[in-house]
Amino acid sequence: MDYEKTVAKTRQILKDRLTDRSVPDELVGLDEQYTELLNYMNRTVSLGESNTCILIGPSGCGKTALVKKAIQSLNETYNNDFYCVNLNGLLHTSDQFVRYQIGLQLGQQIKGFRSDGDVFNLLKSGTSNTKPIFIIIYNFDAFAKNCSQLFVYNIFNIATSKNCPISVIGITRKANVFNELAQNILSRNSYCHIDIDRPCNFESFAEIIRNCLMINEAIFDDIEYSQEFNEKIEELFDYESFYNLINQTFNYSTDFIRSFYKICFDAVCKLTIDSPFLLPEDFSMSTLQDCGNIDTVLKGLTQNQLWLLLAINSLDLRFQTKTFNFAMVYEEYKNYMKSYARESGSTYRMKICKEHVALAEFEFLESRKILQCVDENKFQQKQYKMMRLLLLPEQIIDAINDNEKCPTMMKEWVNRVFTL
Amino acid sequence: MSDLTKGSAFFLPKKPGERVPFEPLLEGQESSNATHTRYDDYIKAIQYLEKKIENFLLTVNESAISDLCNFVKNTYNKGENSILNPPNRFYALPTALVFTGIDKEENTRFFKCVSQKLQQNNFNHIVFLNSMDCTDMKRIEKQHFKHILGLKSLSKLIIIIQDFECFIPEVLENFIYLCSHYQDRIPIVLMLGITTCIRGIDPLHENYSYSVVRLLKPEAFYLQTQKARCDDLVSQCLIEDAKCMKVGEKTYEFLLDMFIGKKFSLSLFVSSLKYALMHYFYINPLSILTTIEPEAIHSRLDLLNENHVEMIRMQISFREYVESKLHQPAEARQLLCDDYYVKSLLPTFCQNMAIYHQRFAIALEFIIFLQEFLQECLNYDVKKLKSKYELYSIALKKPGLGENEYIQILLDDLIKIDPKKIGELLQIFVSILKTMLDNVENIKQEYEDFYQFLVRSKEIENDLTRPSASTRSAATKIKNKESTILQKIEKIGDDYKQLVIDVVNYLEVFFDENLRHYSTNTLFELFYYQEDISILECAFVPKIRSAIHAALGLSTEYINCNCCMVESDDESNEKDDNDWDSREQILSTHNDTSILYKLHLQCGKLINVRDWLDSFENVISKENLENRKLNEKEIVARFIKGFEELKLIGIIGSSSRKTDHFKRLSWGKL
Amino acid sequence: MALEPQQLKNILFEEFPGRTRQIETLLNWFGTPKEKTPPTIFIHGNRALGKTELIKRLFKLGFTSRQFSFLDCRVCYSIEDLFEIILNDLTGEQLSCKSINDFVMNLQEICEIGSETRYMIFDNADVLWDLFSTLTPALLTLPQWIGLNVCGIFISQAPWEKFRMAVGIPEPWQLYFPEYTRDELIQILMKSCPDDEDPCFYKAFVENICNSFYENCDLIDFFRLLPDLFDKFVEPIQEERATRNDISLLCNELKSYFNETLDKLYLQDISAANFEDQLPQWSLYLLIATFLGSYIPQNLDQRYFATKACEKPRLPRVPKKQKLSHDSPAKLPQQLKGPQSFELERVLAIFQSIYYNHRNIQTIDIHQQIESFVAHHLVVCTVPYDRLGSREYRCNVSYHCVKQVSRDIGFDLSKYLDEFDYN
Repeated sequence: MDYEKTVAKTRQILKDRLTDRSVPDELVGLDEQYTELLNYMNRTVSLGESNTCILIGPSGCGKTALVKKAIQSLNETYNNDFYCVNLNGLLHTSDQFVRYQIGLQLGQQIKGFRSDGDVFNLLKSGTSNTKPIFIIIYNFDAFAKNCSQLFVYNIFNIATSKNCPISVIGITRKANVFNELAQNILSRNSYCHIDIDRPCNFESFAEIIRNCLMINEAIFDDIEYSQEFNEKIEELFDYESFYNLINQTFNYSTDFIRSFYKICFDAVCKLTIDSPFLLPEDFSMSTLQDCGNIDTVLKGLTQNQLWLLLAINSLDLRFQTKTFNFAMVYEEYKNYMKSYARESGSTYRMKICKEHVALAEFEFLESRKILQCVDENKFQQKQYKMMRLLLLPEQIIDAINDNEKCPTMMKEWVNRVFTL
Repeated sequence: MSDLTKGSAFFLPKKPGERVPFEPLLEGQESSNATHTRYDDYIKAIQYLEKKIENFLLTVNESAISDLCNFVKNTYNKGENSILNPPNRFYALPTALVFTGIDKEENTRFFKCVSQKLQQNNFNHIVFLNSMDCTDMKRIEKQHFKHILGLKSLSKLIIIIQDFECFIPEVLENFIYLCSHYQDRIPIVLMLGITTCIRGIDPLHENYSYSVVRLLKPEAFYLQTQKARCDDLVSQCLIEDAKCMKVGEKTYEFLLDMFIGKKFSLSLFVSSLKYALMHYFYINPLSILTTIEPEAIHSRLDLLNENHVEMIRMQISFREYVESKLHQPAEARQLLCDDYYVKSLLPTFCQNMAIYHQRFAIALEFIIFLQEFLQECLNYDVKKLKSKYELYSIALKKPGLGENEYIQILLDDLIKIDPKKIGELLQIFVSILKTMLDNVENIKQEYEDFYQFLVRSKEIENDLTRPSASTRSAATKIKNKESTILQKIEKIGDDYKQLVIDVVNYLEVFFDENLRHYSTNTLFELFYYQEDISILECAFVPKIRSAIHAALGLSTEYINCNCCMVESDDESNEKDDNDWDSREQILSTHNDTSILYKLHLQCGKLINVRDWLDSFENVISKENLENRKLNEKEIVARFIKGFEELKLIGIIGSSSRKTDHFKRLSWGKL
Repeated sequence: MALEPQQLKNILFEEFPGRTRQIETLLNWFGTPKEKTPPTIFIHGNRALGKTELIKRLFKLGFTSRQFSFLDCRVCYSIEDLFEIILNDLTGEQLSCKSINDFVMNLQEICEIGSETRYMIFDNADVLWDLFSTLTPALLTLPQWIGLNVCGIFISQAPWEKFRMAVGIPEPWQLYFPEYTRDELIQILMKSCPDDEDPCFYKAFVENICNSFYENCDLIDFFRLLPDLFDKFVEPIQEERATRNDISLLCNELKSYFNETLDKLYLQDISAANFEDQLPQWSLYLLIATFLGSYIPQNLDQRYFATKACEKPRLPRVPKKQKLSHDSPAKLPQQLKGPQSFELERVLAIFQSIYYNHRNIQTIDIHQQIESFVAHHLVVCTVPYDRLGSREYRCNVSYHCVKQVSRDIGFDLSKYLDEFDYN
C-alpha cells in the first residue's frame, strides 16, 4: 500500500512539473539572467528603488521560472516583506480588470477603486520606507495592447517616480515589444530588458530533461525506490532510442522543451505499481504526432473537397483573384472536367460531382477553417458568398501530390493551368 | 370630394332607435318605413355574409389542420426515447414545412387554429416565434427558452414559426441548432410556415448551410391552393345562394383581382364585397326585394310607392318584358299604367330569379364534374381545365356560359369517350340532383330524366354480361353462338353510342337553358350589383400618386384659399379661356412646395439646382415687393424645405451623374 | 456514480469503435481524480468523428456531476451566460458572473473546496472567437494561470493553428481524431442493426452502402440514409421476389435508389408544387424582372429590353475565347459573381418590357410588392433605409428557382440569359 502511495506521489510530483505547475529546482543555462534579474529586484527591496524591467524570450525558455525563482529567493532573504501583484495580459484585458486585480492582490477593498486615480494614489501613497511592490505582468505585449495607453503610461510613471518602491516586471514572447509601445510610455521605461533564449546546445537540453525527471530523494520515505527511480532515469540517457527521441525533438520542434515535456507526461501517466519506473519504451513520439495540424487536416480531405481546392487554385492562377465564391469554383471545376474529357478524347462520361453535393463539401471546408467567408451580406445566397483561402497554394499542391488516392486527372491539374 | 362624403355616411354609428344612417331615396319620396327596412335588410345581409366567411375560414383548412395535428402526435413515438444511445443520436428534428399563402392575416388565423387544436389534445407546449422579435439569438433565448427549459413535465414543445422566410438565415440557423441541442431533453417539433414556395424551399438550399439543414427531418404540408380557395369562396358567397345580392361582371372581376389577380388578399375581397353590398343597399330603393323570402314578399310590396314602381318600369329588363307583351296591348298597358298589376307580378319575377339561380348552380356543378370526368377519360392536361371561378366569370359576361364554346368543346369531347363509362357520369349527376331535390323546386323532371338514362345504361351493361354467362351451357353451338354474340356486342355498342348521343343532346339543352346569361331574366337588376367599379377602386385601390400630383399642381382647388383665387374671380367672364392658364400660373401666394413642384414640371430629365433656386427666388420675390426685401438665407431655407419635401414624396431624386443636378422621378400628368 | 476506470474503459471501447487510442490517451491524461492534468487539452478532428459524443459519454460515466462542465459554445450567446453555465455546472448554484475577473475568483473558490480536477469542456470552441475578442486567449490561458487543478478541454473542427492568434497562449496538449477507416465505419454502422435482424444479413447491407457512399457521406449522413435504404433493401424480400440469400440481387436493386437517396439527403426532394399559385402572376413577372436586373449587365439592357421601335438588328455574337495572359488576368463571367444591385427604375423598365399587361398594374402596387419581396427576403435592399432617394436592390432568388417560375407562367427565360450556361 505504501509502495503504491509512493508511486502515486512520484507521478503527482512529475505531473506538477511537466504541466508547469511547479518551478523546477534548478535553472539550466540561465545563471547570468538570473543574477541580473535578482539584482534588480533586490535593489527595489533593499534600497527602495523603483524600476521597470522587461523579460523577453520565446516560449518555453524559462521566463516564468526565472521570475518565480527570483521571488522565491527574495522571499527567503526578506521573509515575505514585500507585495507581489501578478497580472496576465491575456486574462486582465481591460483597465478595469487590472485595477480590480491590483486592489485585490494588495488586499484592498475593491469597491473603493472607482477610477484609475484611486489605484495610483494607493500605489503612490507609500514612501520609500513602505513595503516594496512588485507588479509582474505576464504577456506584457497583450497587456499593452488591451489596456488603454494612459493606463499603461501611469503604471510605468509610478515606477519611475520617487514615492514608494515599485518594480514593474513585464514578461513577453514578443521580441519587438518596444516597437509597439507608445513614445510616452517608452520614455518612462528605464529601458532595462533581459533577453532570454532557449538552450542552444543539446547538452543543456538533456540536462533540463534530466532535472525535470529526477525526483528529490530527500522528500521520499522510500529511499530505495527513489534512488532506483533516479538511477533508471540516468540509464534512460544511455538508451539509443531515448537519445534519438531527445535529439529529434531538439532538432525539429520549435518549442522543444514543452514538446518533450508532453512526451514525458504521457510516459509519467503510465507509472503504476506494476511499472513503477520510467522505461525507454514509455516515451514515444506519437504524442506529438497526435497534433492535428493543417497538414493532417489536408490529408483527411475527401476527393470532392480536393477538387474544389484545385479549382480555387486554378481560379487564382487564371484570374488572379484571391476571393471567390462557390459558383465560380464549381464552374471552374466543371470546365476542367469537361475539357479534360475532350482532350483525352475519352468517351467515358466523366462523373462530375453534383452541385449540391459540392456545395455541402464547400461548406465543410469553411467549417474546418480552410476557407473563410469575407462576405458581410447576411442574405447572400450560399453559392455567391465571397470566400478567401486560408492555405497557401503550395499546401494544396503538396496535399494532392502526397495523396496516393488522387486520380491522375487530378494530379495533372496541379501541374498545369488549363485554357478553355 | 363627393366620394368622401358618401363614404362617411356609411360609417355613421348605428344606435338602436335612432335615425338610420341611410337617407330616403327616390328624391326623398321613399317612406321612412322603406328606408328602415332597407337598412335592416342591409344589416342582415352583412351579418349573413360575415357568417359565411367565418364558415369558409373554418372549413377551408380543416384537413391541413388535422394532418398537422397527426404529424405532431406521431413524432417521437417509435422507440425514439433511446435518443441518447449511440446509434440513434442523430435523430433529426421533426419539422413540418407548411406551405401557406402569402396572406399574412390568414396565416395567423390558420396557425392559431392549429395551436388551439394541438393544445386540446394533450399537454403540448406551444411557442410562436415572430421574425420581428427574433433579430438575434440572445433575444430568442431570453424571451422563449429560459422559462421553457424550467418546465419539467413537458409532453412536447411545438415551435411555430409563421414567417420562416422573413428570418435572418443566420439567426434561424443558430436557433435550429439550439433546438437540436436540447432535443435529448425536450421533444421539440418545429413548424415552419412558408408563405411563398419560392422563398420557402429555396432558402433551405440557398441560404442555410447543409450542416444545419440536415438536423431537420422535414415533411411538407400543403394548404389548399389559392385557386381552390377562390373556388370555394366564390361559390359560397356568390353562386350557391339563390337569395342574395349578386355582382355583375365588372365588380366580380374586381373582387377576383383582390383575391387572386393582383393581390392575394382575403380581407380585401371580403371588404370589397361588403362595400359593394353596402353601396347596393344604400343607393337602390328596390333592394328591399332582393333578400326577402318569397313567402314574405307581400309585406314588402306594401312598402313600395308609386316612385318605386316607376323605377321598376325604368329598368331595361322590364321594358324588354313590356315589349315582349306588345302583342297583348291590354296587358302591356296594364304594365305601364297599373301600379297594382306591376306589384302583383313582382313575386313571380323574384321567384323566377331564385329558381334561375338554383338551377344555374346545379348546372355549373355539372360542368365541374363533367370536366373532371373528361380529364380522367381523355387525359386532359390539368392546366386546360377551368376552375369554378373562371367559369363563373364567363357566365357573368354576355352572352353567358351556356353559349360559350368551352361548353361545346366539353360536349364534343364527351362523345369521344368510351361509351361504357357514361354510366359513371350519369351516376354522379343523379346523385347531385338527388341531394338537391328537397331544396330546389322544379328539378324533379331533370332528376327523373337522368335517372332514366342511368337505368338505360345499366340495362345495356346487363345485356353485355348475360350472353357470356350462357355460353358455357351450349358448347355444341359455339359457332352459331359466337356470331350472335358478335352481333349482340355490336348492337350493345350501338346502344351505348345512342345513349351517349342522347345524353349529350340532353345536356346541350340543359346547359343552354340553365347557364344562360343572367340578364335574360326580367328584373335581374333587383339582384345584381352592376355599379361602376370606380366606387370600389376609390375605396380599395387608391391612386396615391395622382392625388399627390393633383394636390401639388392644383393646390388652389385643394385648399380653396382666398389669396390665390382673387384674379380668376375678376375675370370670371372669360373663365373658359383663362381657366387653364390660371391653373398653370405660378403665384407667389402658393405654398413653397407647390411652387417648386410647378417649376420642376418645366424641366427635363435633370434639374439644375441653381436654376431651380433662381426661378424659385423669382417667383417668391414678387410676393414682398412692397413690404420688404427677402433675406437670401430665408429664400434658401424655404427652398431647401420644399426641396426635401419633394424628395421625401419621391418626386425628385439625387442623380449620381451630376452632383448639382437632380433627377425627376415622376412624369405624371394631371 | 462514477465507474471504475477499467469498467469505463471497456464500455467506451465497446461503444466507440476505432477510437481506442483516443480513449486510452484521454484516460491516461486524466489519471486519478486528484492528480494534476494537462492545463488545456485541445481536441481536433473532422465533423462526425465522435469527438463530442466520446467526451460527453466519458464524463457522464466516469465522473460525478460537479466535477465537470460541458458547454456547447454554439448555444451560448453571451459571455455572462457562458460563465454562469460553467459555474452552475461546477457548483450547482446559480451564481451571477459578469466578467472574467469574477469568473476566475469563483473558480479559485471552487477549487479550494476539494483537490479533484475540475474540467471545463468547450465544444465547438471556434465559436468563442465570435463571442468576444479576448475571450478565447483568456480561457486558454486561465487553467495554467491560476495554477490550480483545472483542466480546460477545447473541442473544435478547426486545427490549433487557428487558435494561436494571440502571442503567449500556452500550447495545449493536443489530441487528433482521425477519419474512420472503412472497417471502423462498418463496425459503427452495425450498431444501427435492428434487434430482430440477422447481423450477417445487415452487415452485407451496410458493406454495400459503405462502398458506395464512403466518399460522399459522413457518419451523420449515413445514419440518416440507412433506415430508408434498408427498407428498400428488403423490399424484394417482402414482395417475395427474392430470398435473404440473394444478396447480390438485393444490392443490385438497391443501386437504382442511390441517386434518389442522395437527393433526399440534401433535401432536394422537397419542392413546391406550383409557383403560380403562390403569388399573383404579375408579381412573378416582377420577380423575374428583379432577377434579370441582377444578372444582366446594365449595358446589355438596350439589346434585351428595348422596345421594338428602337430595336437594332441583333448582331451575331462572336464567342470570345478567354485567354490567359500574364499582363491582364482574364475576366470572370458576370453571372458567377452573383446578383448585382440595381436601381428600382431599371427593374420597372424591365418589368414593362417583359410583362404584356403592365398597364393594368399601378406603380404603387409594384412598390408595395417590392417591399413585400424585401420583407420575405426575395429581394434584398442594398442601400440603408435612410437613403430614400435612390433605393437599390438585389435579387435573392436562385437561378434554379426563377427557371421554375418562368416555366410555370410560360415565360421564356433563355431568351434573356443566353450567357447563363450553367444549370
